[in-house]
Parts: sequence; C-alpha cells; structure tokens
Amino acid sequence: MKIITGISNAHSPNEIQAYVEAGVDEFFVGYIPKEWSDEYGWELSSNRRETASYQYREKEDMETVVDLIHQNGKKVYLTLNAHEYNIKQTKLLVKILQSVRDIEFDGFIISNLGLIIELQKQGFEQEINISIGGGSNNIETLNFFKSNFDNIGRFILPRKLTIEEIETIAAYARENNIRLEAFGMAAYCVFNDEYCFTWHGSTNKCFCQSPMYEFRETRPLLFTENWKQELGSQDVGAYYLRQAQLQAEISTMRAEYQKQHPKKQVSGHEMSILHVLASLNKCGLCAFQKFKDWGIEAVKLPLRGQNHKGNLAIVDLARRTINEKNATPQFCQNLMGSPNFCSGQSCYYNYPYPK
Amino acid sequence: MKNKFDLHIYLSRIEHLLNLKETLTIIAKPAPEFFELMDNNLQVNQTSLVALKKFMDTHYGVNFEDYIEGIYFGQETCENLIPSTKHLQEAVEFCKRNEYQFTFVTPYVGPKGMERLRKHLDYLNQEVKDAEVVVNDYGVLHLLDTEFSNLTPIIGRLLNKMKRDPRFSMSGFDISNIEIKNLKRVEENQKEAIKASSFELPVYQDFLKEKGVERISVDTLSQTVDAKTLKKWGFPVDLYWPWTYITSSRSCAIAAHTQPGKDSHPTSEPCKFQCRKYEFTFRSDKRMLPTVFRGNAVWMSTRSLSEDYFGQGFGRLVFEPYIPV
Repeated sequence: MKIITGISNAHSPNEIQAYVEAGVDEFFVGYIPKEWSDEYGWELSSNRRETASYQYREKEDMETVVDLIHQNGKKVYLTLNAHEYNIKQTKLLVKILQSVRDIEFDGFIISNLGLIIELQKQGFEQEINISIGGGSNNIETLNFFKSNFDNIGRFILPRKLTIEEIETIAAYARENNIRLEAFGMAAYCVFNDEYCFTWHGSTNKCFCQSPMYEFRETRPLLFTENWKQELGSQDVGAYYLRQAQLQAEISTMRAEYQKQHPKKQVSGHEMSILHVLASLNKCGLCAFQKFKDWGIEAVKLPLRGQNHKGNLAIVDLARRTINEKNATPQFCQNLMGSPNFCSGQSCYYNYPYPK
Repeated sequence: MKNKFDLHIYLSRIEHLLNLKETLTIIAKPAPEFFELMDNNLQVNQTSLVALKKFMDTHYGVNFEDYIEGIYFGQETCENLIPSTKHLQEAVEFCKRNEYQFTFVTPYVGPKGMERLRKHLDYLNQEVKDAEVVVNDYGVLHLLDTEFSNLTPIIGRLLNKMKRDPRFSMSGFDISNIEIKNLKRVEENQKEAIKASSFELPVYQDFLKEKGVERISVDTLSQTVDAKTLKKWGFPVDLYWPWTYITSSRSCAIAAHTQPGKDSHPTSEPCKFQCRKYEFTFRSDKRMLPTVFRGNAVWMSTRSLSEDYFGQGFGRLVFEPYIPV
C-alpha cells in the first residue's frame, strides 16, 4: 500500500527528499499562479486549499519539484478539486493547465464533473483521481465515473464511510480492477467535504471551526405533528417546563457519562514519545491492515501546512504500519505510545470495529 | 407578470403529505409567548406560507393551494430517513388521487442506502412510469441511466455546489490580501463567480442531457442567482425555498450529542431519530439569516429572499413547508 501526501512551496527540496526517504510514494500539489490569484484571490482557490502557503506559485518551482520526485521514482498529482468553477474560471484554469502542459504530472485530482468533461474535450489525457469531492460513497458512483470516462485512476473514499462500508466497496473494487485510496491520518472534518458548501478557510475561518458552530446550543423540539391544532390549547408554562426537562435530560446524561468516562488527555510523558499527538486530530492507523488486506492502493496523509518534522514522524508511523506483516490494532497503538490518545476519542474510522 | 413558475410542494414526512391541507394552513398569529417557543421550522412554515399566498394572490391572481402541480417526496441528506416502501406507496397513491405529478427525492448514500433506493426506484420504474427522481448522488444518476430508464432524473441542489454560508448571508466575507495586487478586482470577480456554477459549461449540459436529465436545481442563495445566469444553465431550473441547504455529514452530530459517550454517530449505526426531538441553534456576532442544525444537516431560512427570486425565470418553485428532515 502506498502513501500519498501533499506538499507546497513551503517545502524545500531537502524536505521532499526526506519525505521520500521516510516512505512517501506519491505527492500531490496545488498550483495557483498570479494569473489565478490576481483574478479570484485565495477564497476561490482552484483547489480545496484556500491559502497561499499550501500552493506552488511559480511554474519553475513546481517543475523542479516534479522532476525531483520523478528522479526518485515517485509520482506527483496536481489537485484541481474545487467544488465549483464558472465558465470564466474553467477557461482560465484550462489556460493555466496548457501553460504547464510540459510538466509531466502523473495525473490530476478532480471533484467537479463539469471540469472532467471540459478537460476531456480539451484533449487532456492525464489520469484523473476522483477527489473526495466526487462523492464516491457507493459502488454505483465508481461505476458512473468508470463507465463515462476512460482515464479514471483512483477513487479517494470520503472520510465518513465506516470500515464496513469501505469493506463492501473495496470487495467490489478488487473484483473489477477499480483502484481506491483512503484517508489515513490527520485532517478529519466534521462534515462531508463533497456536500459542504460553506466558505473554507483563508481569512474566513472554516464554518466548522467558527465560534458560531463551536458554541451551538441544543434545543428540544416541543411541538408534535399536530402543532397547529395544539398550539394554545396548553398553558404556556407547560411548554417551558417540557423544554427545561428535555434540556436537563441531555445535560444530565452527558455530564453523568463524562463523570464515569472522563475525556482522556494526552499526557506530557506520552507527548515526549510522540510529539505530534497534539496536532493529530484523528488517526486511522488501526485500519491500515484491513486496507492492505482489501487491496486499497494508497492511504492519504493530508499534511500540507503542518510542521515538517512532525509530518515525517506521521509518515514514519504510517510506513512502519504498512510494512508490518500483521499490523494489529495493538501493534498500531504501541507505535503511537499513548493509551490516552488511543482511548477511542481520536479514531478516524469507527474503531473498535463491529465483528 | 412574466416568468411564471410552477408550484411543487416538497415534503420529507408522510404525515405532512397525507395532511397536506393542514401542512399548508395559515393559523391565527399565536400570542408572543407561544411564538417564542416555536422553533424556526414552525415559524418559517407560517411566515413562508403568508409570503407565498400573498405573492400568488397579487401576481398570479390565484389561490396557491389550487395552483399546486406536483409533490416532491423523500430525503436529501440522510439515508436513515429514506421513506419506507409503505410510505412511498402511500405518497404515490396520494398523488394519483389528487392528480399531482410525483417526484421522488433521493439523498446521497452509502452501499446500504443504495440498496434501499434501488428497491424504491424499481417500484417507481414499474408503477409510476412518468415519475421524476431528484438525484443528489452520481451513483443514483448511474442507476437511473442504466437500470431505470422510465424515470426522469433531475439534478438535485446538492449537486449544485455553489458557495453559501450563513455567516456571510447578510454580511460580507473577508478577502485575503496576501500577494494580491488589485483587491477590488478580486472582490468583483469573487462576487460574480459565486453567483455562477459549472452548469454554464455547454459540454456539461450536453453530458447531462445524454443521461436523460431534464431539470437542474438551485437553492435560494443569499448572493442571488438572477435570470441571466439561469438562462446560461441550459435547463429548466427548480428553485428550493424557503430552506437552503448549507452542509451535512454522514456522521450525525445530533444523534451523537443526544446519546451517552458519543462524539460521532455514523449513518450506518442504528438510529433513534433524535432529529425529531432536538436541534442545534446558532448565534453569531455577524448579522445572518436564521440557521438551524436539523438532522445531519445545517439549514438556513431564506424566506425573506422571496422578492429577490420570485419572477427571476426559474421554471418551478419547490416549496418546503418544513425543513425536509
């Protein structure tokens, strides 16, 4: 099983070399030249990262990096996975792609169906990996893309699929020579990326990280289906009482549970073993053995924009797990070295998995 | 008035459909202390009905209840809420009895959800040959294209991924000035771009037509989609109003929050339908349109934008008396 990770102009050639040596097999990059940012800024990036530091800005820089990766026998993909492009943006993007046509990307990563069709029309024959934005939540979606386009490479599975769902999809994929990629560690998201249309980063915080979302409040729904008839038939005090009761029910339940099962914090000692634990929001390492057994071709480590040293440690964990013949959950948890981190609160997939 | 639209009613719950008259009833304004207790869903039911009635009355000279052409029935965001076979059949029978066009609304789904949908689509393909199906998952479009050719696909609003965000529904968003020469130009281009979508691409339109698609959909977005834009999309357009979809997750936050020890609740786990008992509400330091987290999705009320949209040239109003959860 391969490891794919993202890089940007923040990485020096030495750092990329270090990634290769740590076990990365494939890379993906974003390219936002001035031609694009002068028109659409960063908020409407041509990929799903809306920040300058996650991109390459100059063709020469990108060319050097692509050459370096190829010299190491590794692959590199260009991400073009914004959800939407209007016709002007599509034309500009095609123009930009034509200007870098001499750079031999191993493929593109795309979400938008219209863009795939337009690139086909424009004669781009590169392999296309379907981004999570393509919504490959089921077998029929794989068949949709495979039967309509000849150059589909891999499908990147959305992060909210459970391990059982991935097993079902992977079994079909294996029998039908369909290649899959799954998220491995880091960059978990509250919502399904492919169906999340909010502003995504740059100077505007992501919706899911905004104070508005963070401080949401639970509100009981007080009325029945017959609310139009029942409204006013009860004393208003009865509704307030019901509201308070339902709210208290939830608060008590959560407080009680938290008392019995306090949230486990990663200790200082654990951090000294693996210092990336604090920045790693979710981890799917325990699923890697299953992914290998099921023929998943690659795991994605979306590490762009994070500390390089920490990233190398994460790549190392992933590589050691992949190389292990039988990487049991216990093996993975020993690698992490943090029983608190592995207490079930930081799992990418629904571990412990049902039997 | 030019640019008349057809009126279709979208409901996700069979009770609301079988009691359509009550669903569409405008009641006497409740006393303020009761109004305060009503959640946004109920308040908007009333305010949107008043707005719709007034518009149809004034501009079309009709009673909106007599003007209904069809029913949209189903679900867009959660496969656990896909109607049962019994409810689907009841909905179809209701439409036959009342001579309404029937449109089945489908969500995005995992493998199990797809199997449930396959059975429903098989039933419709045989029994309701002129039925339309709203598609929010390319896999469902593939099923219609390859197995259920009697059914007519409509591209749903979840496959029209134009940006929307309650935080910026009434206030502007910030623009990064990092390495940007002409901020004004960027601002203008961004404003233009978020009013448009890739439906503008002729090759995309041709592709969808080849797949049998006859209509596409758009939400009532605060950036306003005008008649000129709609014309470029090459299809008759469904406008969803007054509940605009924002985002959703196959890991249900409401289900997780209302049961012990859960931070997430995958769609494939048994569901106790807490979405029928609780919602999340939001507050923001910015002025914004009313927004709630209902079921596994966030919804924004765009009831107040009806004047900006009605009459813009979309073919069909898909009126949501309630949040479709």
